[in-house]
Amino acid sequence: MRGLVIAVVLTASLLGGLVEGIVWAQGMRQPPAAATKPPFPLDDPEAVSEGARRFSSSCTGYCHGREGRVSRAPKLRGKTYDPGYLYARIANGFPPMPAFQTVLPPEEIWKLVAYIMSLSSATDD
Amino acid sequence: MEKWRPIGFTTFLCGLLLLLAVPPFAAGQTAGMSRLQNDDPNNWPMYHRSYDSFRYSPLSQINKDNVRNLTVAWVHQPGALVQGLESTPLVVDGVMYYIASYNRVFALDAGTGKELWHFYPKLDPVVNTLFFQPYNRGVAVGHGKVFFGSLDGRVFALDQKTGKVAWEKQVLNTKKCSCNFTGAPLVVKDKVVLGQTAGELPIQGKIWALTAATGEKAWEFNTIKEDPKSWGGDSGKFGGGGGWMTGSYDPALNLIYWGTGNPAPDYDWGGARPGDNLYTSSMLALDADTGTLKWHFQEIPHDDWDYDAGLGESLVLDRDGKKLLVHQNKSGFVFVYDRTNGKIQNVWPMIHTYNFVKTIDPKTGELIGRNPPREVGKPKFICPWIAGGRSWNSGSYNPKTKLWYNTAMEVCEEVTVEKQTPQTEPAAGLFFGGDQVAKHPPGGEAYGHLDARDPVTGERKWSINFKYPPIGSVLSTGGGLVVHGDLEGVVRAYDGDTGEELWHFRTGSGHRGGPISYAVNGKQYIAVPSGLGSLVLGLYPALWPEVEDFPAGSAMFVFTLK
Repeated sequence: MRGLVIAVVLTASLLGGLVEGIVWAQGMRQPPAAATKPPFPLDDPEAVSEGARRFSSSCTGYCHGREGRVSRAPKLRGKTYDPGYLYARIANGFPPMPAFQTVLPPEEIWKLVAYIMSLSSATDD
Repeated sequence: MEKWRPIGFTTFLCGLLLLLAVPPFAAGQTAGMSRLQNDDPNNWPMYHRSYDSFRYSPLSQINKDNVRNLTVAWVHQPGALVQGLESTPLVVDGVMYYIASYNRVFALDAGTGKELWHFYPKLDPVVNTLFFQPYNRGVAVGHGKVFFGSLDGRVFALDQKTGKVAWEKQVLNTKKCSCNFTGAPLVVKDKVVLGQTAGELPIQGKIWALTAATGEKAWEFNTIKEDPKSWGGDSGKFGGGGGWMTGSYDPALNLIYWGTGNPAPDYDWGGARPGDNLYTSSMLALDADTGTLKWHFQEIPHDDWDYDAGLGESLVLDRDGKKLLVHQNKSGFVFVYDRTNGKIQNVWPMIHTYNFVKTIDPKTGELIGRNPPREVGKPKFICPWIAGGRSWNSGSYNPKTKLWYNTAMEVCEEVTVEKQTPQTEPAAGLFFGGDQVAKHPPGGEAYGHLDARDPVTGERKWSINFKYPPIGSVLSTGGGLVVHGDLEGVVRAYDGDTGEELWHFRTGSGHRGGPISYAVNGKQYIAVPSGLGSLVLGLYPALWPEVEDFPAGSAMFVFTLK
């Protein structure tokens, strides 16, 4: 079982490396987003609400599913994330997920982080 | 009578005059056009194989009697599998040309799969910020060049023999518009025609024609009409549209037929874009030389559902003395036109499950009993779903059986409309105006099917159901075969007359691209792009959670007889 887990992790790493390699080889690497801090508490209801609106208008049905339910991209409901990790992933993207740093200002990205963090205790219902 | 037309006399005369009157380089251009129009059965020289978009290979060496003896001849892997392999390969004189994700272009010996050259463009980092990436659906070949539109808004012409860049042009300001090229160009005479993505963006989408020799712009057509009656307020500035897939061409009429994308925002909360929103979700007939609009028909006036006309092959079909055009709209309805003037001849549904209208008038094309999602924040049940009654994959028309082999999806959705302000700075943001989630139809499970139908009347001869609605294109052949790959990674050959399965092969990843057939040195091959990926695939797990784990992939499988 342990061997299987290691194999899966290695395969995932290799695939990730392949994608990164293609991005690098074809000159598409984005400069990493500058580290920022959230300008509001991440449990601020207004920020969560605005993040939800931004999330649903970003065509999430095609990507993470409505309100972070199941899709081809990672499911977001019921998961606990580090806010800095979420910010970096949204800002920098990861193929085929777009990088949002050139489209959204940091404050808007943090609202998305706030919304996704609010889904940590959500169920699939 | 439905057959590939020989070169018209006028075209022939023009070609002859050009040959006599212009230097050798331009003479080569004429030869390129002639090469595309000559129906060499061994070749698959353009996206839909021929200007009539039949996707039919007349080859018959592989047929119903021997297809069970198919075996793998070779496999080529492009090494880029994000979003799978969506393209349709071309074969010209024994060389296969195809494009994969990240605009990787390959030229291969079509008999052995040996690489002759490859071209990996250095793409602008803006590509990583786009919604429509990193897939591409095809290249075009002509005038000694291989053409494609890039993810970062350029158009490339590569030397057909070496793969070296002959010219490249930055056509779109992708950093600003977030738009790009993902569909295959069409070479028409001395021009390369292609359309851009735009339907989900607050921009004005266009169809472009470049001079094949130099890349200079020949003409452009704005799919957003400058008309305050059609676009209330300033909504036209953000109207979307575009023409993201590949059109057809009628050499006799010198008309290009090109379907356009949906208006933006996709959903209208009431007042988002007052008017009928021309020329979105429309079929256009454009003069091939000038891009002048000869006629148009808006299949979905004021599109409320993202049922655009940008997808779908346009069959150029002659029947009973009529010059027809048969076009699949994303709504699941098929529009049949008189292609000389755009008058509706028939409209019929490929799908059984729809409630966005009660029906569409088969005599006028009018939408009867519209049912738009309008109420902000309140989910509304709509059929078919946003992926359509059919997606952008193509059917195939066999002029021998006179049947159109086409796929369909019986899936619904719940749409929630949300007001949205168009974002254009610092770059265009997605402009959907709502969200949606897939739902099963009332009283049953969602599913898909592959049908054999009369393309004009819609009469069905046979049908095969699939649990997972298929999104791969179809091939039909002179050997009486229908070839089609499913979402689970199985490609099958069917008897075109009966639908009986005659052969199958598991490629290991689902099918989104276009299978083709060709011959090299007297030997027939069937090429099947395999590799699951697609934006619409993200919609499936809401109904079928296991699809989340269906493996991605990207490989060109080529089969021949043992």
